[in-house]
Amino acid sequence: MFNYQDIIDAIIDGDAEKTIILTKQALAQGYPGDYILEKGLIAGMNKVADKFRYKKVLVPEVLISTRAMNAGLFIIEPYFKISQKKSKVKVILGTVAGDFHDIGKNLVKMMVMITGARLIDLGVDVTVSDFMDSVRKEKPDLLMMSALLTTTMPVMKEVIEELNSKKLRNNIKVIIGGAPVTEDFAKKIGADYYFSNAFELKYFLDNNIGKLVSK
Amino acid sequence: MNKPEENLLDPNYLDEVLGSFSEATGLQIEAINNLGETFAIPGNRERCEFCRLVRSHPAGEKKCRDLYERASREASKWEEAYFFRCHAGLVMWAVPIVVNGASFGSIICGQVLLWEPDEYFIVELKKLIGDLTNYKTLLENVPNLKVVSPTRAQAAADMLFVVVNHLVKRNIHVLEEIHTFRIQQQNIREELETRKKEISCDNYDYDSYMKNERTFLRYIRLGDRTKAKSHLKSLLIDLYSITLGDKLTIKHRLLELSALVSRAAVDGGIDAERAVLILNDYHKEVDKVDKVEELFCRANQIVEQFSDNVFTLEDKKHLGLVKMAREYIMDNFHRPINIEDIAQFLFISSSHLSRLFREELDCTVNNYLTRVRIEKAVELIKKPELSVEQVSRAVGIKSQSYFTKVFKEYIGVTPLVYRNSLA
Repeated sequence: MFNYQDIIDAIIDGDAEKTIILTKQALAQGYPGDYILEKGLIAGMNKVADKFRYKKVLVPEVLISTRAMNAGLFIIEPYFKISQKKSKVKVILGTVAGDFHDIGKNLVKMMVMITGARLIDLGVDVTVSDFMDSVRKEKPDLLMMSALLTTTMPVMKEVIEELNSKKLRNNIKVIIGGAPVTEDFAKKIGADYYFSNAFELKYFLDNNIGKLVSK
Repeated sequence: MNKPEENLLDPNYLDEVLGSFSEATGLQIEAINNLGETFAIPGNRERCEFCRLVRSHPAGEKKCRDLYERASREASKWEEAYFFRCHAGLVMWAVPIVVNGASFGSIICGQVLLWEPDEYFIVELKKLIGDLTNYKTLLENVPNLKVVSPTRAQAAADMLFVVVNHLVKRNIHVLEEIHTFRIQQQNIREELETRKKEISCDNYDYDSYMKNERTFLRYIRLGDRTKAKSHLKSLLIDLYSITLGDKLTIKHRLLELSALVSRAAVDGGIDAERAVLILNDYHKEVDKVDKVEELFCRANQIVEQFSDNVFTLEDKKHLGLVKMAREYIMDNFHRPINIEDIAQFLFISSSHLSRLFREELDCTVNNYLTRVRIEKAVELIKKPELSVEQVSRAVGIKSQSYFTKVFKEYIGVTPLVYRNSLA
């Protein structure tokens, strides 16, 4: 019998090789990819994040845990059914200026890719003008932004204000997320949607992707 | 160039101290400026073969520089060692060089792995630098990369931080302050995350903010430090949520709050002259502040200062008894209790209790009890469904005329007038 806890432990230990082996085992035993992701890889990373919060983990340890999780992701990725019909939805994704880590964003990226949407990843530390340039050029249906720190949250507000003032807001749905971001915050800055984790987003996209094409 | 940097960049001193560090730890270090350009590699060391190969490529060199520039920015933002993985998969950390608040670049240390070069590392490398023309040669050099444990990496980073701060002569006080701000910021974030998990988290508006503010002020007036503090925390988060983190608005609200706290503290018995002095200092300091977390820290400080002065219980002999008496009053004010009841509860004589209150709190037991009752009454009188008589009973006062009398004494107007003024 396969045990998700083993993957969680491997991630806490930052053991990439072991995570790979366990993930392969789980897949071979027929466990579905999204379960392994949610109950193993992400659960492990959440554990690390919790420990980090209470200062029980050092930053370098978080680094190796992140690497272990990415190793698991690497194995799992091909097993995700990427939607056959290429969706027409176009998505721009980025973490706001000042934020440099992208664990959460990479998960979101994966969820978006699974839906078959076309994805433009602006990466981390994206400035307001980078977002604006990309929106102008690509004319996306969805703009997804995340922030990790309370100090960088206002950047998302600036982007939305900028979209409003440049009359670009109408054809675009703005989705925001990130640890300190709340539903209330999303409402107040005028974002369309807020999701507290990558799975909520996936569920939403699965059900609504067809309705999101604006043109 | 600025003077402090010149001092710092005294090449001999820099080389000597950082060179020793490098020698002792066996770790590579580079001093970089704000553009990410390396201006010194202390200790006569050369970059490892792997880094040299990556940099031998113009594209690789540029990526190294860009990344160092970013890391340096990040490190000076946090004012602590910033760990990252480079574009070629190595682990390193940047320790900021900050002189008088201005950033002059960083010391980059590491260029190591925190794990044995496993198969997955090759996968990572292919993704990261597979497009470099000398990729094959790079792979051959992987076994030569240094591997250190996470604990050692952290220890080296901590040590380097101390060394660099010694070099720029930063005093410990400044570092402590930065640390406090960072904790404050973490608090805000944690509180937001916790609230997110609770269901009743949405819709913070000024209506609920001011309600909380009133409750908070009540605890200030009564000198209940613990409750005041915990209410302040949630009040600050409310404020953060309402203003969406807007600095200027937060500053304005906090200036108002400080004024309100000062008045409440005066009601609670602190000297008005002193209150104004504290307030003046606060205004002066807040003027210079431009970080939200610093504003929050200052707010915490001033509230502490004020509540310290209201019914100070610290360093007093009979702290335990007076505290218990106060708690008993807080829990039982709605019943028609009197000084006898409290004394009996504490197993002491009522005259002893009276003396304790006079000595420690500079007020009579009855004064205190009445104050608690009126505070509560002020809150209840706002509910239109309650008659004045009901309010009076709810705070443990049987006689309505007595209630009206003391209410007027404390608040300045009768309960009815007060209620009508709210309508």
